[in-house]
Amino acid sequence: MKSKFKLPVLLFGIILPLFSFLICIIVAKKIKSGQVAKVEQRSENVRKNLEEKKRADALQAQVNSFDGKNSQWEKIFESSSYSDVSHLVVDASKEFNADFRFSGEVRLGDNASGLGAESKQNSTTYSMTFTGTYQAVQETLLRVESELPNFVLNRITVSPDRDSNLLDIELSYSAWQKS
Amino acid sequence: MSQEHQHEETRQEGFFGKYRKCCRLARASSRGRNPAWYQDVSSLGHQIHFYEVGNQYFAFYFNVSAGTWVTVSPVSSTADDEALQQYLDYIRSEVLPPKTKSLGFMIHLNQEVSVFEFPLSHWEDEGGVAAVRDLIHTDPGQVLQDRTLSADKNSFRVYPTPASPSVETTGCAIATATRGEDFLKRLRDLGVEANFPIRTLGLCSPLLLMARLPRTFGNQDKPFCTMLRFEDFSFFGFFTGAGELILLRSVRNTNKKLPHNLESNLLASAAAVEISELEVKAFDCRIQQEESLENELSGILFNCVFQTFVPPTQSEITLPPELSVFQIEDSNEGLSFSETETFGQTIDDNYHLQDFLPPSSVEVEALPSGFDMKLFRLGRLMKFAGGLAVMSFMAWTFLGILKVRKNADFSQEIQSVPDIAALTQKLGKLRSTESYLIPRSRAWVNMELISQMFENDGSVMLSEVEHTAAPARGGLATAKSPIEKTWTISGLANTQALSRFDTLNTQEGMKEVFKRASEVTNDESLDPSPNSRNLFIVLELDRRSSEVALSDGSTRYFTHKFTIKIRQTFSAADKIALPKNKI
Repeated sequence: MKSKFKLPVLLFGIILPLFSFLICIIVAKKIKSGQVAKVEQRSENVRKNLEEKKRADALQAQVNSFDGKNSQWEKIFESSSYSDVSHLVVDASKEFNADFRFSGEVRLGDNASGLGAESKQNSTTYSMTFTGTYQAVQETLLRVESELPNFVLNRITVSPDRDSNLLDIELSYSAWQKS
Repeated sequence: MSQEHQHEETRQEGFFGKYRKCCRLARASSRGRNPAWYQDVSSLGHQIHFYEVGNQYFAFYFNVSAGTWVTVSPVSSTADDEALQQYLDYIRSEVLPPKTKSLGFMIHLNQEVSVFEFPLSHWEDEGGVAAVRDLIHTDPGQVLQDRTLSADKNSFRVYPTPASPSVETTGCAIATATRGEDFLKRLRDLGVEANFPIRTLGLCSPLLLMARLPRTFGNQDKPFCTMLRFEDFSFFGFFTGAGELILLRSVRNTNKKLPHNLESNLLASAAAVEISELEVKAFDCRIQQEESLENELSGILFNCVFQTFVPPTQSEITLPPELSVFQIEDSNEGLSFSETETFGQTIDDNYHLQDFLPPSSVEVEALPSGFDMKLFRLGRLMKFAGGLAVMSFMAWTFLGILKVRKNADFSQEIQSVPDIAALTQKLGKLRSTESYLIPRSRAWVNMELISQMFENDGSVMLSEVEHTAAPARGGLATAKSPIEKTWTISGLANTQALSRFDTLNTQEGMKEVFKRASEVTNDESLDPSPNSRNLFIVLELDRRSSEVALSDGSTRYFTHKFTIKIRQTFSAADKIALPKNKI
């Protein structure tokens, strides 16, 4: 005779409890994996944060290493006007009055020639002519170029001056300008 | 509780109700713990055997472990519930040993037994006798091919007759009255109410006796007939000489006396099973005899040999024959016919102990079976163990979560970080600016290079110097543009300077000049050593004598005219390669 209690006992006594246990275990595992994922995410975020902080600090340190230079560079880029350069040359050559002559020919050219034309950075072309002894011109240029590091030489010709024992020196520069 | 009411209640319980009933029974009764609720009466240690005489049950208590019989007070077969409760209280308090945990009640049915034959061949395909063993409980009419027969008034059971000539086609069934069924049910109900397992059994006395008494005769060499003389009927078993059962017969007595035609009936039955010389071995199973069985038989059996026997007994009290043989062990090797199917397989299958007064299906279905309760207990154990395991798992999980959350990184605050992109952009801009401002091409440095190229001893006079710095080809795909620088130096030289030209006309010589100029000016753009820089020199030296007047009025004599063309390339990877981007 088939018992009518077997199925209810199986269902409510074994299958459903087992199922509930299974659900509990799955839920617990889900919660744990969720928490672990959260912690891992947090750890990952912290790790990334630390890395970013480190990177940012390193970047900041590198940026800081340019402290002072930047403002100086800004000035350099801004102070390359015709009159500024002329005054600079005159000042630089003062002690060589005897054997140096600045023709005063500082010419602004277009920005499409020389090294300046190759770059997207704004630039201006300056042409200058000096007459003087080799040493006077070299020392004057040393001072001028030291003051104007944004000047890059495109061309220089040195030839004897026809009217004196001095040298004629023609120069062409590309001067980087502020964007 | 009536069966209809019980049936209705069972039907309405529903699925969950049945489970709750199991819970209730497991909690409130000993069904979950005491296996006696589901054991056979014959396996219980304490048994009350009823022997029906008139409207009374004579009662005998059998202590199985001690093997002792005790006569106890009889009870009326028509006793009401209250009387039955009192009787049960009396049995439990005065007859049974203290702390007895179960009791079996057994009625030995000896008032009315009928024997039927049925067409076994109809059931051959379904498995023969074994197949109809259950069916005959509920539908005897179908088995016995007689629709007038019903399980309501009589209880039918199958009994094998292995030596019947027509054993393949004919089965044998026994029927008893169902009187006593309600009596046993009320006893079981009282047991349920008292939470005391009471198991019952309605035994057919003739079958029990027929299964044991013939074995006391010893080995036989020819067929014989065992006769059991009861008050109202006689029961006959025809056996082969080897002890196999051929035929069962039941003959009603007339006014408690053996019928006169008994001999002819017996002879006819014997002839039907081809027994020519009938030897009757008779047992008197009555408690009170008006006339001895031997006298009765001698008055009606003239052509049959007969013998009367007294059932063996080991009891100190006078017991009815079926009780005196009750404790004979079927497995006793001293008994005859052990090798036969009649006293072997049939006995092993407990055909002789079949319950003729079993609980109704309604009563059985109303309560969980032993297997159900085992399953229930298993489930409870599993729930406990599983619950514990799940709790442990959850605790472990919780601890695991705590452990994970204790991770140093988890509690650490996220720090504010400056905008890396902005910093990178700023740094890029600064580096880019720096890149534009590094010494790349300066006039005074080139003038120093020219100075370093020649000795200042008057052996060389320069006439023209030209230097250019311009973008070189091949920088389209790179961030920086390669640069090409050229120097064209023309002048006059005398023989004293020729060795110098030999030096300048070599890579090593010229590089040495560039290197020295680089060191003097501290300008890396002149350094020839990086692999990204290449130097090419072309020297044109013509012998052409000429005199040059100097400013002091003297003249200087030169033997050669020269032109040095120097080309230096800087690849896009070079430090001073020209950046193309906008700052």
